Amino acid sequence: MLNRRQYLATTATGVVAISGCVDQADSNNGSNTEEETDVGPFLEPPDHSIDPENVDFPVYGQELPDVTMTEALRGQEMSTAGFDQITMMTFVFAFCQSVCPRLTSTLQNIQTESINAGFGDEMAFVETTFDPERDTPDKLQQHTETYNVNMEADNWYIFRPDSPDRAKEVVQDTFGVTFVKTQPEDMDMYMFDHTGLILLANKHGVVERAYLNTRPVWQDIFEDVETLVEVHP
Amino acid sequence: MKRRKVLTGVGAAAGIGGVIWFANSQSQSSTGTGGPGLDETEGSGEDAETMEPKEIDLLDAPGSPGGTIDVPIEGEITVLDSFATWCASCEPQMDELNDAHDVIGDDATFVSISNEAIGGNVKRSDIVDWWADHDGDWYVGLEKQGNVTRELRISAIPFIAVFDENRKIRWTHQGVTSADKLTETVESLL
Repeated sequence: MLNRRQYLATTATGVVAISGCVDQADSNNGSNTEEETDVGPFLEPPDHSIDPENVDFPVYGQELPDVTMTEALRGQEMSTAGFDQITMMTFVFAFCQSVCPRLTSTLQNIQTESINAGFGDEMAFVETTFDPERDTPDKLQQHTETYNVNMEADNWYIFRPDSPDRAKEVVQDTFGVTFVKTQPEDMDMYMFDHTGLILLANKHGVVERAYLNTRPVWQDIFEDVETLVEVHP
Repeated sequence: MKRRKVLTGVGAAAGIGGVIWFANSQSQSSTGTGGPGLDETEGSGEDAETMEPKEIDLLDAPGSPGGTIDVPIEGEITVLDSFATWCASCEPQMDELNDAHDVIGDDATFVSISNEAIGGNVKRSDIVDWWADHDGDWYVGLEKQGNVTRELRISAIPFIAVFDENRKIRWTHQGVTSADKLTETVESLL
């Protein structure tokens, strides 16, 4: 699925050349009326608001950073801020055994429940790996199968920075999700200590909720999603 | 609040497995390891927090008759195991649970629960199949509204909690638990 905002973002930056459409896309881009749109946030402020001064990741009312990277499941360049849908975003690596499974499964459970509730096509689920060395496109494909992701719904995306340095730039420096490589004594491979973060953004890419440390159960996050679907203009 | 104290203790044992994020529900800068969680806490005897009964939607599966059951079970020692069909570590955990179940017999009631959303690629029959494939032979069911995960603050699975006859949370463990440890824990409550 290449939705309108992805189309504009990618053509405008010239990263994706869709033959014959570049001029038209640019003129559309110039004449859009985005500035008149209420971009939210539409949810009430969270009960336990995270102080933006204390964290590096985007929080309530802030925009998702706009980074163009390869989306590994489709093999095309896409923008992290280019989704037309309500977007749930998290940051993982496929070999992770404790924190990320909970993050990925939270998104997957909400994908299932949103489809059950009839608004699956209003949602986008976006993971970004910070382990591009091991998380090849094949490994990430396998990751979606492991977690029972519904790929037929065509609303699950995995961004893959093209190098470990780029992963630092994007995930840590731009999105404010810290990760540090570790070598657990009882394991024969490296792992990461990392921030466990799920972002919920509205259709304009404005953050409505930042969930930290896998604290809320997915049902509680889903309640926020349902409310957002209801109140979203 | 005692519950917080007990469960903070889970994270305080982070030196073992490095799952420091579990401890810091208030912290905004905590991180988690990608390694297997090896957190453990023991409730402090009579001071341990109790859990109000939570209804589990039982599957019709080996050892599990369908219908519902409230956990923890009043008047019985309850071994509560949280798993998911995507969870690789939950497979070796099933072997350990099976061994412990054989030894413990009627001295405790085992209940395994999943908090997976049903639909798409995960049907009830998929969970029943997983259960049968891993030789489960006791109560297995689905949480309602994540009530157990929320109350026990389960952040990673497999996760096991052992309750005494008065529904007190006497022991919890995140990450694979050995059959020996589980047996010893239950026996200490008899």
